[in-house]
Amino acid sequence: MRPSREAEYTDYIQGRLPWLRRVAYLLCQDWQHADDLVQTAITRLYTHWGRARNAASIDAYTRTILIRTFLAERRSAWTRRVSLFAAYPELPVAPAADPDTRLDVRAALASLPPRQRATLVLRFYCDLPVDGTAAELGCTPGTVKSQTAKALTALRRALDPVPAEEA
Amino acid sequence: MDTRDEHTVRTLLRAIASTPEPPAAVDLTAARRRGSRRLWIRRAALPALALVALAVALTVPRSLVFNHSERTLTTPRPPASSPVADAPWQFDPLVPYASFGWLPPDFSESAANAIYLNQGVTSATDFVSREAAAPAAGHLLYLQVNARGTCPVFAAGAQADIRARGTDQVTCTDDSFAVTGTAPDINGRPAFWTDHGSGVVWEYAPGAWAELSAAITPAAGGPHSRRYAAEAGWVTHPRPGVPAASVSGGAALEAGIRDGKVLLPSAATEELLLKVAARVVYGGSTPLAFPFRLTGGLPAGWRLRQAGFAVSGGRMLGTSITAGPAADTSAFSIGASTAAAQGGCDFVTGQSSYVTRLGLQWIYRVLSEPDKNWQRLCATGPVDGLTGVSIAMDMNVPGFSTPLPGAATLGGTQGVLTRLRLLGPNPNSWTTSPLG
Repeated sequence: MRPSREAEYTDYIQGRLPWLRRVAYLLCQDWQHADDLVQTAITRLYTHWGRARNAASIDAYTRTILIRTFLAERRSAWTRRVSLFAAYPELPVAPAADPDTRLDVRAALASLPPRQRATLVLRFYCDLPVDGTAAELGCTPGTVKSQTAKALTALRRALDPVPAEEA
Repeated sequence: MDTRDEHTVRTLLRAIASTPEPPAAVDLTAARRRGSRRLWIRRAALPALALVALAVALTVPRSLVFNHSERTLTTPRPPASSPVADAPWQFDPLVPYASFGWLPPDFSESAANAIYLNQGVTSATDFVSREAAAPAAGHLLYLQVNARGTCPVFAAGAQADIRARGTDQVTCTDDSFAVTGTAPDINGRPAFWTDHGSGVVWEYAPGAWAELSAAITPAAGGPHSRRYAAEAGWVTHPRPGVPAASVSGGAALEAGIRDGKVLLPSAATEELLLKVAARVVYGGSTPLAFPFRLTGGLPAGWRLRQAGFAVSGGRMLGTSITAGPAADTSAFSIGASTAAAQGGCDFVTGQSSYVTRLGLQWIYRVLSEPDKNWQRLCATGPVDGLTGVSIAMDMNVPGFSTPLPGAATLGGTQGVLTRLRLLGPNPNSWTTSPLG
């Protein structure tokens, strides 16, 4: 990579590292693993920097790499380990996001299939529209909608002790 | 699902994300080094490969060699493209200089544009890139045709040296690769294998080079991309006679070495690369059609440097332009397309604000630091049937506090928006002159 582009790349990563780590953490709920994900993603970004710097949004390009790194890793055999949160307790959600609630939500999030989790993070943390989420996940908007609905239903069941009554 | 659920999830996700974070264990230096490490590992494997190639040549029964030759000779090759006598030193970004002249039946450029990060391909003053994919197989072909004189490492005097020992990194404009061996001539001109045969680089005209590489689609990618590539049939598992290598682990996997064995492109992959490369068509005459036009032109001294485009239904649809003065060649860009999905609208607290223009909310993002001063304006929804409408501008020379000459005359991104004419979603109404 040319020195000037190397500097651009370094500058970009240094500025966006906290954001990347937070998105990665939401995807995997483990800071150590999040750092591993970010490490892999920014390494891939380095090899694609020429393309990334010309993208409409470097952030979007980087986020796509991160999300796809996460999903690809989850597809590989060695990461298909037993989920620690497969049988998380059904606890009520508190109106405010206190530390206990965070733990519950983390557990509930971790229980979701990776693709549903990524969908929620993109839509409700990164604030992407359905179309944008579909682009990053490489699926159709319809799939995003159905994944979102399933994920929200699962979260509701996990966090609400009273069965949902809405239609 | 109701909005209450969505609101709750949004709030909770933000709460989780605000969890106090431990010190980062991310190593930026290591990330930068790993790209080089990949090449280093390959270079380390080269002597062993050369020895094995020699041993195979000396020990493999002649019948096998003849069989291979006969198979190669009898494989039908499409006719080669016309030789190019004189490639230009610079291309016109609005008229892509090169295109695929032949692709295997299951490959298409439309499919590649649909899957590859939605960034489209590029037509620049110094290179043209094209992509074609076979999504079902997870195969992707990346072609980059460089303008004359942009790959100085391939100067005639250096070719013998490259033939003798390969070279670790060749950079042609935006493209970097390792040269790992001599390939059969393409249309009578020299060619080399890159990345152990997963790519080929060839001289398509005197002093002008192109590269074609076999990759996999992002859906099949990730840290174990080589394994997926193997499953997709791009590479063998490994080729007979290739010895165990001395490296292992994730870095080796990324370098194409798994279980101590080097994964090489299959003979069929190399054959396909040569076929596609030989049929590339140069000297395009079809201009890109853009869904927008900037009235008033560019400031003095600014030039159009590159255009992004997508291929859909055989048409080349422009999706972005990038322009700037010599001090910052990518200072200014405009993007818009009809793609069903366009991301890229990021709201960054402390930098972004919402503004309403053309009856729509836009995210207006400004970074104002002494040596870095730029603006982004990005539509949060479709505008006149177009998605991903965005404008980006450097106001300073990057790395300096000096104002970028000409930037002020455009009035920043919001000034540019007032001069931008959006032409709707129908390509029949688009223009081949996006700069007025």
